[in-house]
Amino acid sequence: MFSYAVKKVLLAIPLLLGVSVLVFMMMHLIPGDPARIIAGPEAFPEDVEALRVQLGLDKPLPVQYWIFLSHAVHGDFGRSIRSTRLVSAEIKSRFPATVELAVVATAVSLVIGLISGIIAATKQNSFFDTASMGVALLGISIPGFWLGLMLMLVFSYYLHLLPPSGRGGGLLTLAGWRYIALPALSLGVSSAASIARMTRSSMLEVLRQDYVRTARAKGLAERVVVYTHALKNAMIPVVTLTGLHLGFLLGGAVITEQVFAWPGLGTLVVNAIWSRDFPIVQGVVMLFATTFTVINLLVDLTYALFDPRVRYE
Amino acid sequence: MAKPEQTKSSSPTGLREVWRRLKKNRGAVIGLGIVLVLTVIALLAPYLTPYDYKAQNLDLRLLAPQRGHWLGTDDFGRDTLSRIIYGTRVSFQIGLISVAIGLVLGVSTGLISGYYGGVLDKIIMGFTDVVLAFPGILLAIAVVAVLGPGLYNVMVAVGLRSAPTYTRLVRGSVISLREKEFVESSRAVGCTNGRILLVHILPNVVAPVLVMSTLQFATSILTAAGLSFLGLGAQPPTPDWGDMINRARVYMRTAWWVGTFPGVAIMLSVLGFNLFGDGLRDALDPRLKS
Repeated sequence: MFSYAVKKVLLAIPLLLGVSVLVFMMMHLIPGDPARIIAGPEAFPEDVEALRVQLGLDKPLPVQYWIFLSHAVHGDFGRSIRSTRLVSAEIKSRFPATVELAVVATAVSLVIGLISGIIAATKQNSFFDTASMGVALLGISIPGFWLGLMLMLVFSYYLHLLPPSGRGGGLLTLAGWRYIALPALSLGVSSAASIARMTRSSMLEVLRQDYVRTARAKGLAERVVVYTHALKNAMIPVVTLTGLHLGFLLGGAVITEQVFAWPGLGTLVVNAIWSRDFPIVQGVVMLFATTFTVINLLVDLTYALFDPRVRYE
Repeated sequence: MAKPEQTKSSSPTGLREVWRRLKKNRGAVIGLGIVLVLTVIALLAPYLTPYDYKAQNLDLRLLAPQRGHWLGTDDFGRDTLSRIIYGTRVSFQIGLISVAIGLVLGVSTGLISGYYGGVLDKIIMGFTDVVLAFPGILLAIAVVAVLGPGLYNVMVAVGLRSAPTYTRLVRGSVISLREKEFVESSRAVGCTNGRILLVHILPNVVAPVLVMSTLQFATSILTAAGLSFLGLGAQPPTPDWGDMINRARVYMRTAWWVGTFPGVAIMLSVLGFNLFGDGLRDALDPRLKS
């Protein structure tokens, strides 16, 4: 297990280097002169030149990349062009909100997905099975941001049950949960749908296996067979999927945040694109990709822990 | 000389068999129905719309659904139904172009990577890994950040994002096909690598690529709608579904219909392509069906 883990960690390093090259190149792929864009359209030519030297944009590309990388590993992406605050400070003040939303959304999707998937599999071809899989198909096809607006319309404007937007300060307070309920639900629905489908098919496959028949034959209660014997093995692909979804929901949160005015990284990055605030975009994109890579790494390791065969492939 | 063996799915009897299995699958038939209806709507949009999609009439602002304006009007007095009908065309354009970009890039790199292997394979796979390290919509956002907001840039962004999935799919198939006897025999009779790839191997990856493209069409519509919702995609007066929802947000409370119906349109089209794609996969390869 240890050597497997080491191998996986070592493989993540070139991947992250590749990501950093792409993120670095963003600045140089934009049409036009980066120094001019950062300085703004009204800047004097001398100021543009001064800025070019100050930002190191006059150096050869490989040197620039090296500087970018050595700063990036310390979390330093320079200063926001618009607010002139440190990019790292901007990100630090907003990242927790995005993580909170993605984690709660993943938890919501896991609970809904697992329960409906397990019931659908144990009652295959029943009304519940057909209905829940139909709903799951709809759930995959629904645009989360639109679902968010619909939920907001019903639960905030018509029924006055939940606040329509904003963040209520942490998950330790009731207000925090009231504010996060709608965003987390609208973000988590599509993941819930695919987790439900995966759980169902994985469960059906396991329930057909010999050891499950043995467990039944020796007279164990059906509940014990399903929840202790079958579920354990059926969970392996579901764990992988859930890990992947946590990553995707981090990215997807960008859109949901716009719907509910959630003060996370999504709002920051969208505004940064409009104001051509590239250091911010670079910092956010790098952070997301790194987080996603680390999550995938953890998923791989968890998988190997559950299913030792993986380690020897 | 014996002709190199081909897979069964490309022969006429195979196609008939696929069609027979597809017809038996209720979901696939519903999906195909939705896709066909939407295709007709997209093609005939100018003849189907009761009003011009960009005709403004401020006397008719934010009318609730009623006779004459079945889905109501927006804040410029434009007919929502007409805009949704035209939006079908925009969505199909997004789907087609971004799928085409992903398909061409992904299939070609997948063929090369799987067939030649070696350093080329390592480089291509390394690149796809890097692209796939950007979660969900984030790569598209990064591409739009570089190219600037706009509908065509969104198509490029969505296409680039889907390319690695094709690369991996095609590469996997090619690696197993490479060692097959029909490839060996075509090499023995002196076919060039290019001919083997395009004439003998490519037809064998058509089926999985077709399935993936159908599903990818759905994903593209969904992703592009998300980007347009963020204001990064279609710009006015283009009747884009995602953009319509975005602009309807401000008066959601007083005029729910403006933002609600475009969402239904997105959901229906995505559902149609998903159902059809799933059905197509089961019909082309019954072994995969659980």
